[in-house]
Amino acid sequence: MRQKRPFLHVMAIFYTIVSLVPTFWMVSGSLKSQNDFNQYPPSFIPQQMHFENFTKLFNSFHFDVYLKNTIFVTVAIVLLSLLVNSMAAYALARLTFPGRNIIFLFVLGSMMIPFATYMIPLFMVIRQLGLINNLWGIVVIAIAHPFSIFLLRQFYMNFPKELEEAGRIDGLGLIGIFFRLIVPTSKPIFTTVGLLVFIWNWNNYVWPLIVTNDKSLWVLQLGITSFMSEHSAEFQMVMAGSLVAILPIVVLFFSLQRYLIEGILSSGIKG
Amino acid sequence: MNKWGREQWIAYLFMSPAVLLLLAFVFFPSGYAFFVSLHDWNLLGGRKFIGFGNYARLLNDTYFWRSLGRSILYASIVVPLVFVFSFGLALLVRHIGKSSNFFRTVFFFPNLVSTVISVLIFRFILDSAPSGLMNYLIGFLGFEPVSWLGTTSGSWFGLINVFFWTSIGFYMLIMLSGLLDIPVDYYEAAHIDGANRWHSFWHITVPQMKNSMVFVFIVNIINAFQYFDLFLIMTKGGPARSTEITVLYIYNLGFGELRLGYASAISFLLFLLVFVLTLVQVKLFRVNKSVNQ
Repeated sequence: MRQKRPFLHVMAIFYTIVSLVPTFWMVSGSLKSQNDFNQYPPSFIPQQMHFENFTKLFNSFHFDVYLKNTIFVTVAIVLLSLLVNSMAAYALARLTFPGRNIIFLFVLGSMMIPFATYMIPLFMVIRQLGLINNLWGIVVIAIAHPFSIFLLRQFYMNFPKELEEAGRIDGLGLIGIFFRLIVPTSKPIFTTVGLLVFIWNWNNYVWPLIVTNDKSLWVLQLGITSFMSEHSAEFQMVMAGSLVAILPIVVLFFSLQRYLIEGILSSGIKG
Repeated sequence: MNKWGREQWIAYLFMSPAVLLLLAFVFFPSGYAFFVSLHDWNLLGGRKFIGFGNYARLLNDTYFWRSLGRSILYASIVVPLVFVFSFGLALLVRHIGKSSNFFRTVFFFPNLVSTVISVLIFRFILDSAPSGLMNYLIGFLGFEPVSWLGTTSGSWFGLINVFFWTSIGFYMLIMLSGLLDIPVDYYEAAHIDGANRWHSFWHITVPQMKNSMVFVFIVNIINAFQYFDLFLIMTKGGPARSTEITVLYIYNLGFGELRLGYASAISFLLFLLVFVLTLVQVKLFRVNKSVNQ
């Protein structure tokens, strides 16, 4: 039944090259010296590895601060958003209460409003709250996340009833059932949703740019664009900074890759 | 009667943090945008109610109309491109056999790279020197080095390239999940009835994929009109405003010139445009509303 399909393989390998070469070019660029860039033809693997590019980033260009800020913001968002959105998703999926459908429509509706159309008033709101130039100004707006609620709700809808019934018999209230029984069994979906939220927020650029002016509060994506505009000739440093910014995500992705891809495939996103 | 009846208030307790946050940071600012748009409102100076003055000004603003033209052009290039290629890659992954898990991971990989970093990498690939990777490659084909990001068409080429590269993987997965949901029996039955591959594709695959396709299509259109970080980082609208799309124009008016009222008027119009586009598509494709099924 199964035939060999050389044509499919050729195309797949071609797109594999397209997918990976730019990142490879970044890694190789991050280890070059300034002079290597003028060399023709360009070399894929630098003759000499310049690892000092990385120490220079951390010692002279504040990348330690940017990294710390990025980790703080992203981890805070992931933890708070999992808590808030899983509670909402659980209520929407498993509990019946007046207004449930309206609230669900309201959640879905908020996905349809383009961020760009309310970013200016949102900036005014955050300014009123005194959160401009504050890392929490980045965190608060990202906690409630309709897409996470949607994915978690899909998961809870197919959840077996027995667990809740057992909890009832043991005399647990709803709060107890949720935190002691439901949350511990939600690990796979928490990993999927948490990873997606982690990637999006780690990589976010526009909102941190709007909220923070102070260099000591910058996240990596801001630090590196500013570095680029000040030292545009130093390609190797720009590429080294990019590698620092992408590495945590790549490591996380490859260790939890199955959860993310299987999670998206089985999520029923397409309805 | 629902057996948790006595604890109904807990359902509201569970909902309230998410609902309150969405109200404060999505719905309130969206409505507030309209209020702001009725004023001459400067971030540093005061504000003055001018009714629909901003909307009237908009009609004669050639920068706005040109930016809208570019946004529409951009969407009409990018949406079909991503649609066709995400479907194509999904088919490829579906039919390639044993190595399918490997390829789907590799194809998804560029989605991990942030817009900022993709732009930096592509600026470096599209460097105007002969030793830039793209110039080196086209040099093999006998072309002279090109100053990619110095020209309008080169800039558009770069922008579309980066967008394509960073977003195709996610849509490929959505398409793939639709493909994997089609029962194999359908194809077997069609095969017995003498259908060839082309028939099976048009009469089974395409209709069964409807939901995934509509999802990719709608989300793509909304995104094409709302994301501008790529433009902000890569070209800043240049050279000579030739890549200034509407959202970037809003950003520049609001955060560059601090003209919040006028920027909000354009935001509100853009919102209406995207809203109407989405409604039209939902009607057109008669999407199943119930996500539960």
